[in-house]
Amino acid sequence: MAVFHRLGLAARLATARHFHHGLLALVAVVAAVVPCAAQSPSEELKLDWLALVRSHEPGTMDDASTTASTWSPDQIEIVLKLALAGIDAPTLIRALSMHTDIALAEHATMARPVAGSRTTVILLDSRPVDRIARSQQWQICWELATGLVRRGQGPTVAAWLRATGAVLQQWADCDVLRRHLDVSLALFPQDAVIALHAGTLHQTFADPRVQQYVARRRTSPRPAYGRTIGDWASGPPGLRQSLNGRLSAVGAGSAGLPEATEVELGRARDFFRRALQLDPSLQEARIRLAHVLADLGEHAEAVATVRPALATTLVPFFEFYAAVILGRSEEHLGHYAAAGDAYARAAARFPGAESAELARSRVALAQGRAGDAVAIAVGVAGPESGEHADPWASYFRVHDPDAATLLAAWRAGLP
Amino acid sequence: MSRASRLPLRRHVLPLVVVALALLVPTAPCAQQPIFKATVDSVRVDVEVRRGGRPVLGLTAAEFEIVDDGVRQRAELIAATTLPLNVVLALDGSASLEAREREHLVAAGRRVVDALRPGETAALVTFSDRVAIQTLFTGDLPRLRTLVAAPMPLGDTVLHDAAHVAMLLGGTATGRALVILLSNGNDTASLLTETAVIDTARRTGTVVCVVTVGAESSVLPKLSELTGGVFLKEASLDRVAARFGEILESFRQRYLVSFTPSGPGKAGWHTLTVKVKGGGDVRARSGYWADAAAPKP
Repeated sequence: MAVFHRLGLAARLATARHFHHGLLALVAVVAAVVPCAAQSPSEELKLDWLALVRSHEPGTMDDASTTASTWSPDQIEIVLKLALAGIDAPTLIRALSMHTDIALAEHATMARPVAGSRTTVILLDSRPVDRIARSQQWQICWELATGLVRRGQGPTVAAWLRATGAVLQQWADCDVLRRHLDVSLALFPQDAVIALHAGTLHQTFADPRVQQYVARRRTSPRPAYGRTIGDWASGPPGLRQSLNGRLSAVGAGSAGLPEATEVELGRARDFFRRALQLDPSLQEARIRLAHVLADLGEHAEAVATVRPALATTLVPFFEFYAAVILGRSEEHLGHYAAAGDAYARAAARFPGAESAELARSRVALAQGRAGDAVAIAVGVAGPESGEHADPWASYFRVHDPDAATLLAAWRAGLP
Repeated sequence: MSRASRLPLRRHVLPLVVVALALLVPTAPCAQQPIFKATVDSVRVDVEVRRGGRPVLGLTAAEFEIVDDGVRQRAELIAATTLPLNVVLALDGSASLEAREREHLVAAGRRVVDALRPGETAALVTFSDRVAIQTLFTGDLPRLRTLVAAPMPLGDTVLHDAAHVAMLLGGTATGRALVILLSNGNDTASLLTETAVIDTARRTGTVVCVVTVGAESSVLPKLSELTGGVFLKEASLDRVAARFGEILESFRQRYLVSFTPSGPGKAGWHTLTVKVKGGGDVRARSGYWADAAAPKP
C-alpha cells in the first residue's frame, strides 16, 4: 500500500509543470521501487515528505506543497518525529519554508471549520460575522522551528519568526499570532523585534473592536454570527479581528480571551519598553509605546517618548503614526499649537487622510478658529472630497520592514 | 433598563442651544497667552420647560432665571419662529448594524426629512470607518430622501469623528441647529478621543440628541447632557423613526433665550443654570464656551 502511495506521489510529481519537479519525480520513482520492503510505513512517509520538501520551490504553492497540504495531522506528526530526529538542518529549513507557504495559502482560502478542528472567529467592527478553521500548518512550523534552534539554527529561525510574525500582524490574525509569539518569546526572549510584535499584539487586544467582542463573549458565550455556519466545533474559538473594516485574528478561548483594556495596555507598555531596552534604535517600538502611554493617560511621557522618533528618518506610515500620536497627546495637554503642527505633518505625509485632517479641524476649533475647523472638515469629508488613503485605519497591521520584504529576505537565505 | 428608556420622551426633551458668537476670533496658542478676557457679546440658549410631562408654553422672559458662573443674567426671549430650524442628521452605517436594522435606520432618516417644514433644512452625515458629509444644509427634500436611503459602506465606527463633524456643521447654521445622532453607541476607530469630542460639544454649542440601539456608550450620554439634548436608548431600531419624530417636535417647542453676559467675562467654560419661576423640568445646555480675546496690539 505504501508503495502505491509513493508511486502515486511520484506520478503526480512527474506531471509537474516544472522541469526540476520531473527530475525529482524520477528520484521518487526510484525510491518507490527499490528498498521498500525493508522500510516501515513511518519511514516511507518520511521519504515521501522529504521528496516533497526537496522539490518545493519556496514562495510558491506548487505541486509539492499542494500535496503536502493534504496530509493528515497524524501523518505529519509521524513524519515530524522522524524528521526532527534524523534529517539534516538545511532540509528542515526547506521544510519550514514549504509548510509556511502552505499556511500562507490556507489563509487565502479561508477554510470552513470541520468538527474537531480549532476555529477562529472573524470579526467586523467587533461583531462576529463568521468562523474559519485555523491552519494546522503553523503548529508544524513551530515544531520545526523549535527543532532547528536545538540544532544551532537560531539566526535562521529568529528571522523566520520575525517575518511570519509580521505576516500574522498584517493579517491581524491575533489567534495564530498569540501562539506564534509564545513560541517566539520562549525561543528568543532577548529579541527586540519579537518583543515589539508581542507589544503590538497586546495593544491590539486593548482595542475597542476586540474589547467589545470580549465583553459580549463573557456575557453570552455563544455569540450569534452574521450568517449560519453550523454549530461550534470542539473547543472555544479563536478570534480573528477585523481592524479597519477588513476581515483579519486574536487567540481566544475561554482561557485565552484578552484581558481588560488596562491590563492589555500594561502588557503592551512592558513589551515595548523591553524592545527599546534591547534595541534603542527601534523607532516603531518608541512610537507604539507613546501611543500606549497616551491611552494609559500618561500624555507628558508619551510626548517625551515619541518626539525623538520624529527626529529620525521614518518610513511614511510610521512618520504619520508618530505625528498623530504626538498631536493627540499635545492636544490633550492643551498645547494646541504643537498639536496642530504635528497633525499638519501627518496630513502632509498622507494628503487627504481623514483622521489627520479631522484632528487638524479639532485643533483649529480649540484655537478659536471655528471657520477653519469647518472648512477643513468639509474639505476632507464633504460631498466633493475624494477617497484618500488613511494610515490610521491600518495602524495595528503595519510593521517596518513590511512582511513581504522580511519573508523575501528570509527565503533568499534558504539553503 | 435606563431611566432614559423607561420614561416617555417628552419628559426628557428639554433641549436648548448656546451660540457663542466669538468662535471666529483667532487666539494665540494657549501656552503663550496670559490674557483670558472673553469676547462673548451674547449667548443664546434653547430651553424646554415641562410640567407633568407636558410642555409649558407662553412663558415670558421675566420667568426665566439664568445664572452664568454664579452671576444672575437678564434673559430675553427671541421668537423661535423667526429662526429656521436646521437639522444635522448623523447616521451610523457601520458593520455593527445588521441589514434589518439598516432598513429601520433609513426609515428613521426619512421621518426627519418628511417632518421638515418650508424654510427648514437638513444636512446628512453618515459614518462607518470614515465620515462622509453626504450633503451640507439643504431644503431639497427629494434629494435628502435619496441620500438617506443610499447604501452605506460597511466598516468600523468612527463615532467620535462623526460627532465632531456633525456638531461643527450645526455651528454653521444660520438659524437654530439640532444634531440628531443615531449609533450603536460605540466608537471603535476614531483618531479623535472622547475628551476631544466633548470639547467640541462645549465649543460649538450645538444641541445633540442621541438615539442608541443596544450598546452602551460613555460619550454619547455626556454629549446630550452637555448640550441640552436628549439621550435615548432603544433595544431595537424599529422604534427609532418614532423617536426621531418626537425629538424634532419637542425641539420646536423650545424657548430661545438670549442674554448678554454681565459677569467678569472670563475666557473658557462658563457654567449655566437655567430655571423657571413656578418650577418645572428644565432642560438646557449646561454651559457655554467663551474664547479668549485677541491680544491688543
